[in-house]
Amino acid sequence: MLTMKEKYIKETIEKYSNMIYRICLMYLKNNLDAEDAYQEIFIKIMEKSPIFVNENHQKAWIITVTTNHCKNILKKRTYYKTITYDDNINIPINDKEDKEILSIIFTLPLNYRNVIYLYYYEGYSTKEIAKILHKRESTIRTWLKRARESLKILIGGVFDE
Amino acid sequence: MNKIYNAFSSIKASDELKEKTYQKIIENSNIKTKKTKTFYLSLVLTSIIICIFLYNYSDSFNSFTPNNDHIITTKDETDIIMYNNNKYVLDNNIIIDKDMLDKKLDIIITQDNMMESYNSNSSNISIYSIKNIDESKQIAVLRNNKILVYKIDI
Repeated sequence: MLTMKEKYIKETIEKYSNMIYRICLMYLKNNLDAEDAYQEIFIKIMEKSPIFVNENHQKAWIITVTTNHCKNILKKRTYYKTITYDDNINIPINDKEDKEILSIIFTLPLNYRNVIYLYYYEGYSTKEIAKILHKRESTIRTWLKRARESLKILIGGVFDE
Repeated sequence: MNKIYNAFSSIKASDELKEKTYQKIIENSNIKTKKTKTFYLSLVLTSIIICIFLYNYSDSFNSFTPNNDHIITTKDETDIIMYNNNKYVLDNNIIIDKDMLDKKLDIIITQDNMMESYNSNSSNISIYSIKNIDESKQIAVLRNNKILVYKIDI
């Protein structure tokens, strides 16, 4: 029988697993690195686990922790000049069309694809994204606009705002 | 937009990864709990040791600073005591009780006493002045809860 803590861990993993994994993959562009980061982030989350006001607060906090962790990994990559996988994006998806669209999204600059994910998938407003990423709302709007323009060019008719 | 949503939806963490992460968190949590337990246990033990030490030596810390420069004890401590470069001899004719003790002057700690003190706390020899009596003439010695009066040996 699971203890309260074990149950909480299981529930949190189940709830935020895909979201964390997606963000990690978006930042790191590699399945193996994303899996490592994913585990480290969950350990971090469980170690800190502050008291949250509500579920949205918890979700926003987890997104911030995840993005910060991934940013640190990227910084280390730059510092130690380790190999990056930009040219060989490894996404564990079987569907060809989805993989193609993701490959296109992954060619966008990091900030653009991050904003695209949070806006179109997680459904956050530009104001909320600005709060999560600690940026100005106008910056987020600019990134979103540019990301849309880029996607229009890259995806063509498929992309519909 | 729908296509982007679907594309992102197709990214999913595998069950294997979830399980591996869960095990890792539990493992980490157990290690952390063990470390915390060890830390607090050692803290409690250290506190107990400090308490025992303070209890045994509390007398030594009471309102005086030992000045070991002038503490000299003879082998025959029961009869002769050297205090403050003066020789005091036991005066069996005078018996005083604790009320007569004035202020603690010193504590004599000899090698033997140090050894004994680990086994019992009654081996300290405390030197007191006697009320209304000049300490250069007479002193009282508290040993094993017994008060002995020593007078200066001229």
